This record gives sequence, C-alpha cells and structure tokens, in this order.
Amino acid sequence: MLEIVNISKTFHPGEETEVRALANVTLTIPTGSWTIVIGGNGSGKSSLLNAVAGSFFVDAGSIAIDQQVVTRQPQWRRATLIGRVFQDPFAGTAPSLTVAENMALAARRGLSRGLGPLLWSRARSHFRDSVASLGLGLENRMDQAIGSMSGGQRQALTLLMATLRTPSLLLLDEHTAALDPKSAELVIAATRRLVQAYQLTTLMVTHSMQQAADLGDRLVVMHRGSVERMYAKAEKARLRPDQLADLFVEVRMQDKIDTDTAAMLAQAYVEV
Amino acid sequence: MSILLSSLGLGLVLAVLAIGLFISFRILKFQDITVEGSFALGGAAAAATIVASGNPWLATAVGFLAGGAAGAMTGSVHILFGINGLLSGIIVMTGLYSVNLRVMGRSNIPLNNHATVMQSPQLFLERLAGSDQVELFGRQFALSDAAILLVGFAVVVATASLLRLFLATNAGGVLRGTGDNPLLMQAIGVPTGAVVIGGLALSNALAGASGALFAQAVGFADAQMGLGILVTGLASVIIGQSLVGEASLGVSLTAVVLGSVIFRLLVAISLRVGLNPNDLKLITAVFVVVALSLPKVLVRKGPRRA
Repeated sequence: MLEIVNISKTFHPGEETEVRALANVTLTIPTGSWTIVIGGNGSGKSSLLNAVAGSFFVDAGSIAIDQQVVTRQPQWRRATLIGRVFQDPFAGTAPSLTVAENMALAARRGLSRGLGPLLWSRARSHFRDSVASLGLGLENRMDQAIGSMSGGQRQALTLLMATLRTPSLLLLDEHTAALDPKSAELVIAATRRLVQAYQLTTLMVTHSMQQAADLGDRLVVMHRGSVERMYAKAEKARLRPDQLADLFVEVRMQDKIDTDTAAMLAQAYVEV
Repeated sequence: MSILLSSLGLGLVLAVLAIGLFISFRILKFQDITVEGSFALGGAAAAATIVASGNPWLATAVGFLAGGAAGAMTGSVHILFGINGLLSGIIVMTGLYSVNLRVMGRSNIPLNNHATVMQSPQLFLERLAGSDQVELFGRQFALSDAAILLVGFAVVVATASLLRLFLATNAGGVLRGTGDNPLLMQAIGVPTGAVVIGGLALSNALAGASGALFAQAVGFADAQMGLGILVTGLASVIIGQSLVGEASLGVSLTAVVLGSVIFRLLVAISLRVGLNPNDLKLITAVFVVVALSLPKVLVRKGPRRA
C-alpha cells in the first residue's frame, strides 16, 4: 500500500523560474491496485512519481510504502521497496553490460552486494526463462550487451528487471511514450501480464487515453500539481476513452480560463 | 643494450597505473586526474617507508594504501560537496604535492643503497648466472633489469587477474553498472556515491602501488615523478584498446598491459633514434589527442550505431 499524505514540492523557490509542481497531494493506493495517473503537461503527474521514487525530497507531507515511511530516504534506499520503469527506454538498463548481467544486478535490488559471483548457472537459467516469457527471442542473446538492442526490447527488459524481485510498489513513468506503436503494444502486454501475475501494487503515469481506459482499476486525473479527480474501481470500469478525452478537454478548458483570467487581470491592474 | 629489457620492465610497472586508469576512465567513466599526485605519493610513501623500516614489501603496500586514500579523498570531495569531478581531482592533486614533500621531508629520496622488492630476485638471478650480466642473442643484459621485469610481470599478472575476478562479482558488477548508468543503479538500490568513492580509491591505490614500484625500479622517489603520468597512462590504455577494439574485460585488461609495454618501447626507440627527451611529453600529448579524436572523425564519415 502506498500512502501519500499532503505532499508539496516547489522547484526553484523564490526565483523567477519558480514552479509549484505538487500542491498538497493526498493519495492512497491500496495493495494490489493498479492506479493510472493522467494529466496535461506540467500537471505534476511525473513529479508525483518522482517524489515517490525519491528523485527529490518533498517540501512537506509524508510518503509511506507498506507502512514504512520513506519521505526522507534517498532514492537508492527506497529502491528496496520500489521497482521502476522510466520514460526513456534507454534509461533503465546498463548498455555495456550483457542482458544476463543487467538481470543479475536488478535481481539483487535492495540486497547486499558482496564478492559472490554476479552470475551463476542456476540464476542464469532463471533469467533466461524470464526473458523467454517476453516472447521476443532475447533469451538467445543473454550474453550480448544490452546497448545493442532496440528501445522496445530494452524497455521490455527494464520492466522485467523492475519486477524480478517482487517490488512492494511498481512505478511506471509513461513507459511506452517513446516507443513505436508495435513495441508499445508489446510492452503493455508484458506489463499487464506481470502486474496481474504478481498482483503488483502499481502507479502508472500515461499520456495515452486508450491505456488509461483499458488498464488499471483506479484513475487519478492531475491538474496544476493537485489531484483533480479520482475514479475508483466501479466508476473507472464504466469510463470509455472518448469520455476520458472529454474529461481531458474539460480540465484543459479550466486551465485556459484561468490563464485568460490571469491575463485579463494583468492587463487591467498591472499595465495601467 | 639493456634498454629494451629496462623499458619492458618499466612498461610492466607502469601497466599497474594503466590498469588503475582503466578503472576510473573506462569503467567508472570518471575523468580522474588525481593519479598525477597519487602516483608520486605512492613513490614518496614507499621511499620514506623503505628508509625508515628497510622493508620494501611493506613500503609497496603503504604506497598502495596511500594512493587509495588520495583517491577516496577525490571521490569524497566530488560526492559530498558536489564539486565537479575534474576539479576535485585537480584540487587533490595540487594538495598532494605538499603532502608528498612532507612525506619525504625533501624533494627527492635516493634508494640506491636500500633494499627494494627487486633485490632478492636480482640476487637470485645473479647467483644462478654467476655474474650480474647475461649474454642473450649476442647482447649483454643487466640482471637488475631482468629483476624489474620479473617483479613487474608478477605484480601485473596478479593485479589484472584479481581485478578480472572482482569485476565478475556482485560488487564488481555494481562498479561497472555505476559507470554505465548511475540512475539505474540508484533505482536498483545502489548508493552510487559510495561506489564512486570506492572505485576511485581502488584506481588510485593501483596508481600508488605503481609509483612505489617505479621508485624502487629507477632507484629514487621524486616529488615531480607524477608529472605527465596521466597522459602517459592514458596513451597506454588507448594503444591497448586500439589493439583489441570492443572486447571482453579480460581481453581489454590484457590489452591495457600490452599497451603500456608498447608505449615504453616506442619511447625507448624514439629516444634511441635521437629524439630530444624534452619533446617527449609534447609528442605524447599530441598522440593522445589524435588517438582520442580519430574514432570520432571516422564515425562522422560513416555513421554507425554504438
């Protein structure tokens, strides 16, 4: 279970470039839930994910995963609980290491790493089986450098690496946004299979209305650093992609009105 | 005619430094300049220890540890205070110059009349040959140079083998992964800052050990002995990698050692055909620029995915 209580984050406070990325966000994701987060550019959806992952510390509020408060833990320490897939398909793997070596490193997420061998035959065959389950034929390329593979292949492997040791929380950050449609479909299929097989508690940010409608059991709409709406299981099941798109337009409209109002006010009061 | 033999020996001793540079520049991908100071520190600490204790093996170990401490210092300055990596190395290297003078108490310690790690192999060879020279292929070779070769070879083989084994462990994988993709390593639970500090400590410990052996091989330690050693070491790494290209770690390490030996031989040959020793560093610097830029120029001609 992920419990986010009242977190806020402002980047570059006091400077011209000040950005309120998160404003008093409270959100609970029950164990086993697959929650989808959507929102426009600058809505704070990626910041929410990064705050949970520990890419930065929040200014206020608290974050707990499975009753462990991680608010002040650096990213690497939280990684004990978190599996993570990045938007950039090249970010989640070490390019000059082989597929098997990448798997072996990820398999010890949160465990001590001493002078034991990185790869031994039993682990090797276990990794091979996991890679084979992706259905990409990569199980025959276990000893090739991951850098020689395509973005789609690498993203599928990253997903596998993130779940190799069952995480308490899986974070997916628009993980198909940079892929071609065919690879995206493949990665989504793998995501669906892994999340369901291990009943993973998942927080997934997406830009795709189709994915938002098809996947997950809860939906969060973010806007201007806050949770604008939330749809629980039954409500979300009734949502169709076109309704989601309407919702999106509606949220954008609000944004537009706000900006217009601000411009009008500025004109009326500042420039006189 | 023992110039060939002595450059082979020094090439092997400096290969230990080249292996250290392989760790920082190639594995960690950290442009670490500290080695200029830690190489000299290793030599200085070893010379001071030899004079004080008379134990050359202890002295070499002290050189190794002192170099490691210098590397850890650079890593800490970089990680804890967020100072640019290149600058951290320059800062520590500059500070080490004073440390080295303090360690030696003067700018130079001669080791001619002291025991070195090359001494017992040399005595053994001389007892075997019944003289301090041997004739091979009609030329005279000094057994003191043969002893350097022997010790250098043993140390390099041990260093490269141990490193090869280490890189195949979980901790070694973490070191390689941190150089490759630190963001990923943090996401899978690795405190990458500590890894960088440890990696630089290891790299500079090897530089220190190399300096300790070098001082014993040439018969003195000098506060200036690290000057230009970084570019020299890099040249070795580059020559080695150009021999094998993209290769497994074991092959790459062997190539780095060969690169160091080849570089020393090239230097010896150049000096023999009348090159002014004063020009040596300039030529080395130009060589490194060419070697580093050549692949980029070639890639620009025909794009190819790395």
